[in-house]
Amino acid sequence: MTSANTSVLDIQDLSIEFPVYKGAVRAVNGVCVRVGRGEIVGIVGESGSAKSVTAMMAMRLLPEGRFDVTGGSVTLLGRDVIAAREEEMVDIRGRDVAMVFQEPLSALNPTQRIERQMLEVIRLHRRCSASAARALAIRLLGDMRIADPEQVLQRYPFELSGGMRQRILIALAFSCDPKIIIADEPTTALDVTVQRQVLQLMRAKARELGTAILFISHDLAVVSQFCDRVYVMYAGAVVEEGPTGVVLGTPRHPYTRALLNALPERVRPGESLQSIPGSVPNLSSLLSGCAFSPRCEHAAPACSGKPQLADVGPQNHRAACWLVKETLP
Amino acid sequence: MASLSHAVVATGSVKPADTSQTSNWGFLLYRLRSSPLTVVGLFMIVIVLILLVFAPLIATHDPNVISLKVRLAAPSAAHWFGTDEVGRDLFSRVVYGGRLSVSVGFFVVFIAGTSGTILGCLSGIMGGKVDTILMRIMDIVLSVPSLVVTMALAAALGPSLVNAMLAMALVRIPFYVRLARGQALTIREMPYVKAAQIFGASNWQVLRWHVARNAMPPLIVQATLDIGGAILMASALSFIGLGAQQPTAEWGSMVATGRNYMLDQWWYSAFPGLAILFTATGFNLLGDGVRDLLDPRQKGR
Amino acid sequence: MSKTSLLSLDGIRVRFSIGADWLGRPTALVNALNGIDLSVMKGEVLGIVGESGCGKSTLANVLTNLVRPTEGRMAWAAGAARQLQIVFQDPQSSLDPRLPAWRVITEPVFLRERRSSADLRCLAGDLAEQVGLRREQMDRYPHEFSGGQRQRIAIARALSSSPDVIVLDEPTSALDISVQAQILNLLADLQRSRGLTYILISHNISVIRHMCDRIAVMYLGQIVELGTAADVLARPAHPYTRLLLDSVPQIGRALDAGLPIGETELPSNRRLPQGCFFRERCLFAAAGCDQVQALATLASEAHLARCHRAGELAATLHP
Repeated sequence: MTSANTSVLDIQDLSIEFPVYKGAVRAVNGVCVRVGRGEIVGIVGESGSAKSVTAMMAMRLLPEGRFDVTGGSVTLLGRDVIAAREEEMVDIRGRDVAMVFQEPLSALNPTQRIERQMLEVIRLHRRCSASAARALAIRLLGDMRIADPEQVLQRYPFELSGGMRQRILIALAFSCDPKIIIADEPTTALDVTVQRQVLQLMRAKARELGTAILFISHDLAVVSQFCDRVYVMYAGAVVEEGPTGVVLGTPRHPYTRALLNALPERVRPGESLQSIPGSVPNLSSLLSGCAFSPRCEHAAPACSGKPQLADVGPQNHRAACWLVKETLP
Repeated sequence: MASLSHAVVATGSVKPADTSQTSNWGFLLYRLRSSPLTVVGLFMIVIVLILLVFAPLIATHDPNVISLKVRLAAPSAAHWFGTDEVGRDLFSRVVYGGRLSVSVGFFVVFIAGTSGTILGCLSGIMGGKVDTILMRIMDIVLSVPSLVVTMALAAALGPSLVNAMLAMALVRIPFYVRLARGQALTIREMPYVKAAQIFGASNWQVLRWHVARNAMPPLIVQATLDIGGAILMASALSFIGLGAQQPTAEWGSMVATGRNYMLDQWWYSAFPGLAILFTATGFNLLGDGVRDLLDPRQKGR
Repeated sequence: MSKTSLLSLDGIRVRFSIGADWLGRPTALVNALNGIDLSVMKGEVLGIVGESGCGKSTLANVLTNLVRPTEGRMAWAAGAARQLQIVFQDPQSSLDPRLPAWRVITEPVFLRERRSSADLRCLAGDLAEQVGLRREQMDRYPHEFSGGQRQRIAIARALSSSPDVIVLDEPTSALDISVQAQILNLLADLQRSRGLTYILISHNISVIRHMCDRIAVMYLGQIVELGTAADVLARPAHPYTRLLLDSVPQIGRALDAGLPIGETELPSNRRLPQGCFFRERCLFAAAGCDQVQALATLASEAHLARCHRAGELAATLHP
């Protein structure tokens, strides 16, 4: 159990709304996510699950004035993120918390060479000389298995492949020795061979430095390989959580099970896939109670009450479904 | 930020899927609320349009009736904007003159806009030699100061409002061609255009069904902004005698004639001038607002 | 082999010029496709697998006639209707946002024949029902549909002109897992009921494994392995195929499992490598790899690999 003192990121009961025309979108509903020191934690979900919004909130990167936190707290390294002043957040970002996005090209300035961009970030947070920063940059690129880092530093982003750019950004994320890195689908846009390499490098580096990683993805297989613990989200709420092997090996929530069953690997080639009937609910008109119940084969009157996360197995394996009190076949 | 907009859109459709008329208008009003200046612009245009459409009901006098007894009279209860040098009521002349000025503005933009769009889109879609040749022609037109070209053309064709209109339209065409071509270049890379080409669409069909409509937003914005400019330009041409001829009431020519009387009879130039200012500002504000409303980043909310 | 060849590609090479000097002569060339020989059999689902830079997009463009090959030819079998349609990856940008669904679906027909709107709407309604949409939704615009529904519209569009072959270019990559399952089921049903031939281009091995009868693995503009799905996936004969299969994330398989990763950067396609294109990244490179590799047959006639060591490496490469 990660106690509050050793957790790097502690999101408790977070609820966020986006006010829009005709009401509000209840994007996040009572989400609890905890990342301990050095842990690699995954948040997995489909579109509409609000996994990215939750992660963005950890660094308060949501646009000012366009969202309302209607409940809960976010504590990053002991600091209250919701109440913090923007200057404090700017201080933390990059130094204690780093972020890696999905699309490396938008994160890099196309008109500057890599060297200039890397040095800018490193010197901003480390206050060292240019030569020391350069040496660090070269070492980091080497750690990311980039051949000939000196040459790469002289390149412009568009001259490099997607895999190379993402490795540079990950190197930058580690450059200031952050306590936690938030990675939002960092390998989704990459080829599988590059993805495998990038994930191996990220994990090795994180273990070496003791950095925690919050890894957002829609890919169950990647999460199973990369993360120690996982949270499964649906329509803005956590429906299941626990050690990755346990959750994906013995899923207890109907949604997790349905999701795993929908994977092509689960059936023989040519057989029909088990799809989930219906579609993701419209978040601006969420009913109270379990958001998955309209699509669930085990739906019952009990589903109209708000589901609570309950222990379903060892090592803090929890699921939010009345059914788990019984034994699912 | 790309990730956030993806997150917000991905958190569910924000606009209700109900496509009834009322909710679409309601949504429009919601968007307008965040842009008060657009509403102001819209308001101004509506006022102008009402004045023009209902000119016969609003004008106090016949704009062409001469009455030497009351020549150059100051604004009063009888003549709200005063009278000109032959005693014609200026208020009525401003109201009726607006019809000419504003319609000239509209026509110029319409002609330039439609032909420019078609040419630009075709150029963008076809590429190659056609594109190169057309763009060089446009460059030539653009390299000469527009007022000079307009004046030369208007003078060559003979001074009249229609000729001035044609000249102005011609000179504006390159802007639309450029804009449309840029749009076409982007749009033709879109999968739905490639799909159409795979299905066997000809260049013309691609233009007609896909490129033209999707290229519209920035063109509409440009057109709305241009209307104000065209009205100003028409007035400028009339001012130098190449547009509306006497005794036609037109804002620019009235300002021009009023020049002679400016020291003692300030109202002669002032009111038509104010009318030009008011209308052009209204269109500019509206154009800015339309651009924001049509901004694709705002689309999909 | 009871299947007949519907379409064959012979020696297809595609070179694009990038940058031109002031006289218009190209200053550099991109070698997108470097010798593709492929036959598409009637009624099969042929999978094209590869990563970025392998040329699969260019191949799709050649198949759909958007790009003319610099060398080689594409030939349809005698009697075939020569109709090829395509479903793109991104359901958002592959449908014109300003046209209603019925118009989008019937576009292939609209562009070729003169038919009344009523006729087209009726056709659209029929097709909509076959892909799991409702007739009443046909007046709506694309943005009013979900991603999965838009992809169904794209599929209906591909069906509207009754094609022989449909090229599916990453049809489910932009969709959620649950939606992907629905779309894949739909595609399989349509294939069976209409006897369609699919060319499925994807980087998602699990989708390929699920749908395809035969698989072609591409690397740097060449086919490096070609065979039945069972052969290629269970008994890969080319080191690149093995690398690909190892890299595909699987639930329950550790990140470090499989053969070690070498270099992950692709060689440049401007100046092609000498001999085997994969040599620099290959763990099994040896003498003889600097010669041009031909797509040779292996034990089974239907299984080809572009590696002179394929036979001896067989045991090592099988996962």
